[in-house]
Amino acid sequence: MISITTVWSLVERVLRYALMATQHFSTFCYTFWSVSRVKHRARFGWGAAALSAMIGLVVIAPLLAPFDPYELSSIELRDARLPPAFFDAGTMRYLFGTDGQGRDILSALTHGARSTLLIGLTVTLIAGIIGTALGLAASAGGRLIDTIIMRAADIQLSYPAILVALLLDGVGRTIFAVGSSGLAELHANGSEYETRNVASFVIVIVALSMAYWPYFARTIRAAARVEWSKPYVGAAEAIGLRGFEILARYIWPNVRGQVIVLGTWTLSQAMACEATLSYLGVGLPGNVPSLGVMIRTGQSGLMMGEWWIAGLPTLVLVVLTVTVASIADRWRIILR
Amino acid sequence: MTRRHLAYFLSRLTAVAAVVFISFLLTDQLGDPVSQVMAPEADLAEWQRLAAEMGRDRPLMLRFGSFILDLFKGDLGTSYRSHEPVSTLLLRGAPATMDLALCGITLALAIAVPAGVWTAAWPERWTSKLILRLSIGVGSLPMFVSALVLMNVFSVWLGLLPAFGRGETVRFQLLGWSTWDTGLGTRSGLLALALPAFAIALHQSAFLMRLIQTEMLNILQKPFIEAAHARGLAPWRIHYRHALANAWSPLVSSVSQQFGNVVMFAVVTEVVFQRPGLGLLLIRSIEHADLPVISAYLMLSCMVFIAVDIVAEVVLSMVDPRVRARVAELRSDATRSDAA
Repeated sequence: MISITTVWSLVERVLRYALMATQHFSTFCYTFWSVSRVKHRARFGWGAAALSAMIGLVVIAPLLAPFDPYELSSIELRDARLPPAFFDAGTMRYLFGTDGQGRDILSALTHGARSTLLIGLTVTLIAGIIGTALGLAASAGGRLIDTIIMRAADIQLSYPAILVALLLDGVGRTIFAVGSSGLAELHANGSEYETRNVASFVIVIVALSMAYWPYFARTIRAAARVEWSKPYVGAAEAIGLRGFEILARYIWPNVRGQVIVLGTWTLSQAMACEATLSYLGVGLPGNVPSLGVMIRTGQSGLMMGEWWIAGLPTLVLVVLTVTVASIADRWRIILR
Repeated sequence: MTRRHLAYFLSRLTAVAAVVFISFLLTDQLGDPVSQVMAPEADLAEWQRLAAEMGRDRPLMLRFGSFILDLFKGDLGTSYRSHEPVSTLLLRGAPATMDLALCGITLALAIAVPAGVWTAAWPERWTSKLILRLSIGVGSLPMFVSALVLMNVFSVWLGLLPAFGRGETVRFQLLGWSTWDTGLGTRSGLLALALPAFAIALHQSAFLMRLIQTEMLNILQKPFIEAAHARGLAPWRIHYRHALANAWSPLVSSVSQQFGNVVMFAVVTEVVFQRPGLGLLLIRSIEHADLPVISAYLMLSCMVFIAVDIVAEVVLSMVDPRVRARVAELRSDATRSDAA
């Protein structure tokens, strides 16, 4: 029988932990701020500036983009394959030119970068939370929990992220019947389109999160095990703290630096991975602006001298991933 | 067999069992396998007849048993898309991927080892700094971007190398029941292989180089390196003979762990360069939700990873005397010394 007192004590405990979590979150923010601010102020120079500029641009993308790439009625097929405005044949109406169907490249770029960054951030958040929680659990829990979690992570790790995502994507497509045949696409009405677009976003996010959590779990477990063996944990046990409190107050503050390094690295990898999936034709569908899809469709234009259709999205993608990766490398050097 | 070997094989066996079971569930539980093989105009009675014929009315575990039996007979099911046996499709695609993976890894090592040794030996030179910067940049790029850039530079602009396909191939008879086409024997086959292999090597070497550099930096601080310098040996001899010999074992084990990456890189390169290999087969199958091929690919890649892992263990014990000594010690069940 579950009595009201047990329920209440559970609620009380949850509330207490929530309070603790908020307190720790402020410490958490302060630590990262102080690391970046005091210790190595100059080191974050161009990378962080470029990244924040890009995030800012991407957030205001709908205001910045002259056209709505989702809006099919604004497309003029006459305007297809126009070069950027700084060429003779280009017009100021389409600053970066148009693609094979007359869509504005600049609008598609901003919206594409937006979905890439959005997916990257979501994946990093989900994989980071799951992986960190499992890694801490593996370090703190018994031997059985440790074995189960780490064996699962090992199996997952032997498959690289894109392969996991590809296989999950294949499964997800069967379940949601996304893009199974060309005929079904033609007969699908608006709301079905909408469902499929959302489904493919969800599939990509779930697949990438599944692929990246083991990196967090492994690193955090290794770092946490080192902390558990230190004498101050024994001291904490001696003053009567319980396992969870030791974990939250002593272990976590000492391992969270790793989370940031890994999170930044995961962000760059997840964005690259999403673009790859979309490029391969199994990520985001063709009617959603995304950098990978733009490169795939523009690829044929490269042979005919229409380099801007695939070249500009490639450039944006390169800048995005390389910037984030170099920030991750800086974090690694600083926190080492 | 010692306990260590036994534990190793058991853990690998559980991984294989898990992957095989997942693959079985994929083909068995998802979608409708019966309607995939029947004619589109068939009715419900026909469906029921076929379902009974395929054994769909039997319990799940019995179906799993017959799946395993079929697996041992080499029967991986029939593709939904092309209605050919999956094993035929896999065998047709395997040679192209094998050529690519082998050449890619060899080239990657050929780039990564000198670069890693150089950056570790002279970390302050501007060339080392440039190499390190480049490796971060290349390593963080999506694979298909650098493959596309290579393709555009070398085949579209310069017109030196073919952009698509795999050229002429040489056919071998394989154990009497199948054939194996390799592109390594002909000029056009090698030319078609050059760009994809280089694209893979570039990405793989970015990672391997940093690994070698970290290992070498640790090794170069050891006293025996100083002793070698004191004996007046040439620096290249110290770096390549004395220091690199100690870096081999982490290199071999991480190459084997990174083999999954090579397989994944092969998928992407095959799509970019339209090489008719396993990767292209996988992508086409995923596009058409062709579950038998997807699950067969899953099982095949798992087996390849484990085979590579075992080979790496053997190679490791060959190149590294310390591992050999450890194995020998375990074999003779000698008591472990505390000195280690």
